[in-house]
Amino acid sequence: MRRRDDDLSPFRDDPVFEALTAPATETELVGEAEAVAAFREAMPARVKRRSAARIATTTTAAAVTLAVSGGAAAAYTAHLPESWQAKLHADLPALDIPAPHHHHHSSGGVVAKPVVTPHPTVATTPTPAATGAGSPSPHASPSLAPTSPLASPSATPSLSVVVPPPSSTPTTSPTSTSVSPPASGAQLAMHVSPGARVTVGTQLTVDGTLTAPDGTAVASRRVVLLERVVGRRGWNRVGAPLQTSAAGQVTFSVPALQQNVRLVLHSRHVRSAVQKVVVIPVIRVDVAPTSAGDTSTTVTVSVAGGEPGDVVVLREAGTRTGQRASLSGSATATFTVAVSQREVIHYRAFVPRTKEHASHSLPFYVPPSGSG
Amino acid sequence: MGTALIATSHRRPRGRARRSDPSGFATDEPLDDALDRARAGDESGFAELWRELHPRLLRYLRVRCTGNHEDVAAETWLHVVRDLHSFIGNVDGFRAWVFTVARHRAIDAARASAARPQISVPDFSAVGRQPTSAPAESEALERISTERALKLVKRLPAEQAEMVMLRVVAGLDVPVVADIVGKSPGAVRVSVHRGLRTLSRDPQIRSEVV
Repeated sequence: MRRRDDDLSPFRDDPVFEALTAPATETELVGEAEAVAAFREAMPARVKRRSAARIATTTTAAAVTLAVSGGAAAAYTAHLPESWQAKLHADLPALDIPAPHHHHHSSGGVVAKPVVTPHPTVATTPTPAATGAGSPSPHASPSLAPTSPLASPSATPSLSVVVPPPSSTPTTSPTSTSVSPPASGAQLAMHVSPGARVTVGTQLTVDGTLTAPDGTAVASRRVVLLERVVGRRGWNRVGAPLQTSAAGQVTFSVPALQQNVRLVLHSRHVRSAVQKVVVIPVIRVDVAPTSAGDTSTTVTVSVAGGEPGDVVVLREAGTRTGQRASLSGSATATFTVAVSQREVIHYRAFVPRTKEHASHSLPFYVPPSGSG
Repeated sequence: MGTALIATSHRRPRGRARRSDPSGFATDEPLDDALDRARAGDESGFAELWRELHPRLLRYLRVRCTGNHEDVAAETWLHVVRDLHSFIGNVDGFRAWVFTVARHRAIDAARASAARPQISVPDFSAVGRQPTSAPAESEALERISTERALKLVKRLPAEQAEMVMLRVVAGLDVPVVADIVGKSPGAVRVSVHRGLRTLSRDPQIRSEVV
């Protein structure tokens, strides 16, 4: 049974809890302008254009110009706080932002600190980390029957993305029938279900809706679904082209996914936003049975969706160190772990993300020797 | 067969937009709209997200960081704005992502600091720059209380302190915290409980904070 996350209620009236969760002070909110300036500079040009176009509908062109150039001007003239100036200078070289003046440090009192841009050993990607791996089930036992690796395709939310077509730029989409193309400003919306993060082997359904600038559906238009996968050049068509229905809709089926993929819908003069779908590998752990007195056993980790050579890390709960091994040709890795005479030892098998799949981990335990 | 299956992977359902923040921060508005706007390049959307998360981030980093937490926070936001356009997920996922980035940046900063010791000098830049918009007295009391509480949390074992901050201040769910720190949800729940109980039961701490 899933427990509700209301375990903090006994502490809510505690002075320490209240102090920790007190409303933000003005001091803590200093720096918003610099953060927004960095946001402005970092947004891709494509998104900037879209944003500027939307702003232009409600403000004057002069105001837009001022808003978009303000942060850049501040950065170029080195008027941002030093920490932001240094990071923009180091991390966005294309913008040619000058280095900060190292008269003093903004708040920490560090003198002439060289700008460093360290990279974490564990890569951080814009992937929500809100998907906790399952905890060891209290009733899990060596005899637990395996569940389907496709058991949770519906565990991720569906996504809809829409991108207006590029302004009057011809596309390379297949030439269509005699139906007149939708006027500039048409939209092709894509909806991927069950979602953007799916378990390996999941089949996707891609729904597209083509609408004219006035919002009405565009029927009888040819739409193709294109995919791009790691290790293959360019975009490749998925299935046959489809014609939009009277409601302007098409539905494609994507075969069972084995690795990450990017999808996009194309019609004449219009395309959808590119949607990346990340595949979550399925981990299975097998622990060899032990006899009384054994001090170690063999753990075999198999990863559905993993590639030979992918790293698997086995870590005992509560420790920072662990064993590493690479997947063999059969997508398995073998470890030798200690066995206690009396106690259960908890471990976690972790598969780091690769270009082909997302990271995933699986907690499990090794029973005492002689118990099975 | 010689082997026995222990368990297969399983992921909890995702995608439900949380409407009640486990933390007690005053702002509890749905930020999904702000996130959508920020992803589309809207500065006001990003500013809303920043105002909601930055104070939490600073408090978390004060406990997590050994060096300058403001620098780490700035690096975190720089990373976030750089990759925001390609972020996929709801605001809960965004919150978890921000704190995951912050954690990695803090680890990097600690490593860099250990490799290149630096000499600190007084920071004269802050002199005369204190904001004056809020009522000075209440703000000072609030700040002292919060800072004192952060110092008290920092007395806890490092892992426990981090879990308390991620759970209470960042407002992340137990499974998310477990994912970030590499523990089981049960271990996180127990550790956070013990940490908060330690803080709440100590009479000296209570007298200091109140």
